[in-house]
Amino acid sequence: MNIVLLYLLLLKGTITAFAGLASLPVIQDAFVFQHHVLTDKQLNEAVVITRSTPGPVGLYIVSVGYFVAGAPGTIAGWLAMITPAFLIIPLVAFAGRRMEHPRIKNVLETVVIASAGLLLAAAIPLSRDALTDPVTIGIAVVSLALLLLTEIDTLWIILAASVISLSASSIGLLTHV
Amino acid sequence: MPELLRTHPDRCHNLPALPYVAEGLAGKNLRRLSDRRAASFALTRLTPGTNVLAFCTGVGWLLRRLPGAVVALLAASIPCAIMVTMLTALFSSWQDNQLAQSAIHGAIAAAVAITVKTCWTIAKPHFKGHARLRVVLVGAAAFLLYVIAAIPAIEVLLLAAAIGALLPATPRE
Repeated sequence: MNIVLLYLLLLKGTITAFAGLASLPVIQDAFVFQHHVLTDKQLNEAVVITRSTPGPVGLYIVSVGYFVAGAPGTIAGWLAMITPAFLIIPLVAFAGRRMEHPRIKNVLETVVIASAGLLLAAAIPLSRDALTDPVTIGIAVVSLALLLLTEIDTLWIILAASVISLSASSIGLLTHV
Repeated sequence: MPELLRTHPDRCHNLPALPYVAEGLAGKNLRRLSDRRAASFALTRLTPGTNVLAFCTGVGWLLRRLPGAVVALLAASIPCAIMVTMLTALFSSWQDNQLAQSAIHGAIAAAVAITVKTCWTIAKPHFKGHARLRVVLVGAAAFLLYVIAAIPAIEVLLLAAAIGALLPATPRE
């Protein structure tokens, strides 16, 4: 894939999202469904990688860039990730008070809430790819419960899930890998 | 601004990390920044993309204008991007490794849970008082438009922006 196109598609995702993973549905639309240069498994792996390293969740864009186009894709992903951050300069410098206007806040709030609904929708194809047997379904359910009810760091949950999956595989409970 | 690099290695997956980032960035100038830093906190939520990066850029701008913003953004994004790239390269090279794939399969199942939990993380700050019904309706409408009506995500977001402009302001608790 052309690097400029890759950057623009990734930027379309980052510029329309107001939180790390909120861009995932747009990225999934563009790369998995339209251009077919990324799989749901790779998108899931990008989330795993980002949650296993220090830094913001939005870094999964860098991982997506790498999966699509190797090292040049990484640079495109990094640029797409940092470009929207510059928008805060005009916001701080000129628009600070205007951004507190109720109608503008209303627009942003509605977009953020819609992005939560979209992210839930994007999780459906991701789960179809990832949850293929009772062990992985169990891992996902327990992980979700732990994430919602406890303060355990996601890194530990990912590590525990890997160990359980590895153990299940070694005793023949995971047959599809 | 070596403080920028010193601050970065903290795990900063979420917005609660921002005060630590601010302290690292501003150091002794923190008091001088206080008012505008508070504004920067709020504006971070209104800036598209990754909030932590926008915040670092905003504080860098307040401290040293454009050079400060550029240095803050580079220092906050490059080290973690390198780590992500290295791990992604490892994942790619493990495609034929049976053992690694078994472990990755479990991690990916956990990633689905992380994605679902993130939906709640995004919606939670708005899920209070009279706004609860709005959160449920807008979230469900976006979900259904994407899944049932197969409307592309970007168009759903644009539609949400248009509806947000028409809706009355959310009453504050």
